[in-house]
Amino acid sequence: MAESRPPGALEVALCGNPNTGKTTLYNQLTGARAHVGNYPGITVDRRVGEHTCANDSQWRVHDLPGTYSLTAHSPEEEIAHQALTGRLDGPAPDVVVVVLDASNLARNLLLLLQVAELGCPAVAALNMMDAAQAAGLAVDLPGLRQQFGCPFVAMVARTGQGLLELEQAVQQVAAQPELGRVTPTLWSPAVLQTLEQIRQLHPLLADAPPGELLWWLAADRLVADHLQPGLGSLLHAQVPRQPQADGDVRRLLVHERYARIDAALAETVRRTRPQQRSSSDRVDDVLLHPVAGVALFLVAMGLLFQAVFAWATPVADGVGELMAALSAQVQQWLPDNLLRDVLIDGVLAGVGGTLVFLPQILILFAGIALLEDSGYLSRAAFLVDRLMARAGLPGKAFVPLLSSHACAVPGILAARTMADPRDRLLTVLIAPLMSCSARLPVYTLVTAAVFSGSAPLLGFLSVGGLIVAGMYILGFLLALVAAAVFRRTLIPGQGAPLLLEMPPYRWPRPRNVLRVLWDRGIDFTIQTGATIVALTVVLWALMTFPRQGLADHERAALTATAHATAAAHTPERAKAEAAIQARDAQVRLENSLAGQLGKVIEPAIQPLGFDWRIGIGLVGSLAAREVLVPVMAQIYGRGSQGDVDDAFAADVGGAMAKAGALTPLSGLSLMVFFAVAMQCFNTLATIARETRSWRWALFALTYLNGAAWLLSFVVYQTGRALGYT
Amino acid sequence: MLYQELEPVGDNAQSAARPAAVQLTLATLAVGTAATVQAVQLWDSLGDRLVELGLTPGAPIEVLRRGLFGGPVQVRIRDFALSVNRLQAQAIQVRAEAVRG
Repeated sequence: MAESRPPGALEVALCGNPNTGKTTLYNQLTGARAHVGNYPGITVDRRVGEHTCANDSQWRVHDLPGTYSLTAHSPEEEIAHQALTGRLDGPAPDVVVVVLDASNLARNLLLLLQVAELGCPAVAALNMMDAAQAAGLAVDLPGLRQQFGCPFVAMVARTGQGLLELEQAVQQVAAQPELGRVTPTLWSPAVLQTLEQIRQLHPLLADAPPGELLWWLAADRLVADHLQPGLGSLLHAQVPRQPQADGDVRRLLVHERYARIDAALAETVRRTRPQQRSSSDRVDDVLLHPVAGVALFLVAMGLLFQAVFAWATPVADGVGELMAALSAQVQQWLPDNLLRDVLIDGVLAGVGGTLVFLPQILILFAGIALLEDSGYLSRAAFLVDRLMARAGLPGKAFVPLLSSHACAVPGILAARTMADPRDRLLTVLIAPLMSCSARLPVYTLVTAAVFSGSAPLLGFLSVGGLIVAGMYILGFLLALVAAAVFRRTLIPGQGAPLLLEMPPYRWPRPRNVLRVLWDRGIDFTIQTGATIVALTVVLWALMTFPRQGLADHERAALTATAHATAAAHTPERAKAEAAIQARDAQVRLENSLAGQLGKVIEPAIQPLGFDWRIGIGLVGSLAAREVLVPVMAQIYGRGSQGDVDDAFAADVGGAMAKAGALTPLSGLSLMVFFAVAMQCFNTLATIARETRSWRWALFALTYLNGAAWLLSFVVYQTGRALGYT
Repeated sequence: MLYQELEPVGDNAQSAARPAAVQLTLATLAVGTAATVQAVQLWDSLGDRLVELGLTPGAPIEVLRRGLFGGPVQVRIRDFALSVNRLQAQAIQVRAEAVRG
């Protein structure tokens, strides 16, 4: 609506319950060449597209969020209501197409009545007529039109059947809006009395049409207050709730609409054969079975995790190699200067650092899209709801938290499957506590350095392995504690109570899955990637300036020694020269801003058992936790290696242990710190993007790093008090 | 079990202290029993949502299955499957249809 409006184009809004095929219809109309964005402030997808009818007239199609009602109990409903009444950022639509699931008409018709009450000319699109007929339902279309007054069109949006009829009906209603007027419901005296009563309460309501009065009466108090300050509170004070079955007027509004709908359906919908258990019911008997269902759930989640954790690695490695090759090219093309350095180590490293997440994100979202599109995600939430509820988490938080064990970035993005913004926020805040794969090189460094010599417990349990497992458990338990604390403080309430429609199982549509992948991939690469690149450049600058390596006389002295001890063109000489290079890099890093920062923070991290060298490593690991390994390698003169593998991590750890910087106790403290702290600015950027606020991102940074410091402090100081070093 | 709850029998020593008929809710309704909704005794926006989803007085309802360990309850209402958690289920009062057989 904010974009340019082609002259004469009809504004057509699509409205409907979730799972009615509304988006399928939208894709049919617009060819899915949609402008996809988000509504301001919330992650509710917003789609606007163009449609050219068979007779060349133009529509602008607005795909409103799927809702069961318009009384504004959720952000989706608030958006839908605002769009339908022209309060969002454009005019009210000329025609509203209410998409109805033909096999589930009663609940769908409730929304049609609410849309009509807002004064919108409506066309009812009875979608999935094929499924309804297959289930033995015979629907009398002219009868429905007679009952409700607006056009009813039978459709199968998936195949495009009925599209032409829909075009004609919409155009007729656009030309003569009264054709799209739904006959008003005959309200009981109790309702009519209340409407007259509230009419006197506010000038805004004095001349409002009855439908608008109905909306204000039923609307959520806070939302109404937001639209018209004080009005929601006034209405709730003047018309209080009456907690008796038939005494509450807001309930009566719904009861009476359903009474009308039930009466109309009794005349117009007939079963051609007795109702049978659907195939979805039979599939549910297995997939929701207490034993078989749980087992299959574990298999499905195991596969999903395996895919994100392991199958993405070769692709991510490929991305890494590609970026390395690109860097090498740039290195050849450009002269050795600062511009080249910032391009390679700042910009390209940041782009690579973004793209390296893409395989995981795409694989995870392909998995989630399959689960969601098939209808299984709701079943999975049903199975784990009780378990998750104990921590104050909704069942749907399971998938984001599970995938965060591979990487918090895709995990946080997966939180979008949760409808309630508070549930989403809670999940996003605790997701970084899951031990991700980037922590493993750090764990390897420490365990190889200080625990590899320990005798196995009970003869076969490696101490290092046990400690690493302990880190996973630590992160998970802390997440539960954090969730419980936030539920009682920052994000009060129980979260969205489980209230799920279990959609019938459907074959996932490849086009839908690809769409999700495309949207998510582009959004992450561009929006989050920009922040990651900027932060990478800043970190590069910190670790580079003021570019002070070996002083000339030191270099000369070292070179002279090398020349004296090793003849030219021998392997010894090359080794000696490499050693000088390593020493130079070491000095540069120590003198850099990051190096100075490491020294500045030393007093803060000394109580955890870390010296300033580890401090530099902590600064460097902001890019990604595993960067600790190459940074420590540089500091301890162990050279550089593009690919951080276990052997390299063990070698660096060994050097640290030999230098006395790493003891079993300080090593344990370092592992605990890494297990809890949020040092990864990719996660930070993702949280900022997903919560639409740097405030929450900084909050996560503060609470996680505060907790990390505290726990490491306790570990190190307790250990010392017990006599360990 | 269901019918005992509906009509406590006389020789039950506790029955005198109890109300004449124990109110049946979705939390106590046996799986597979046909019933109708009586009232949604949740007077917040969640209760409103349940009513908007079709749990109006008189609407036929059936418990399809229950989740593990006191988990959610899946019901069929107005031709679709809906899950509600146990707390909500306890607030949804139902009336079982006439005893069959």
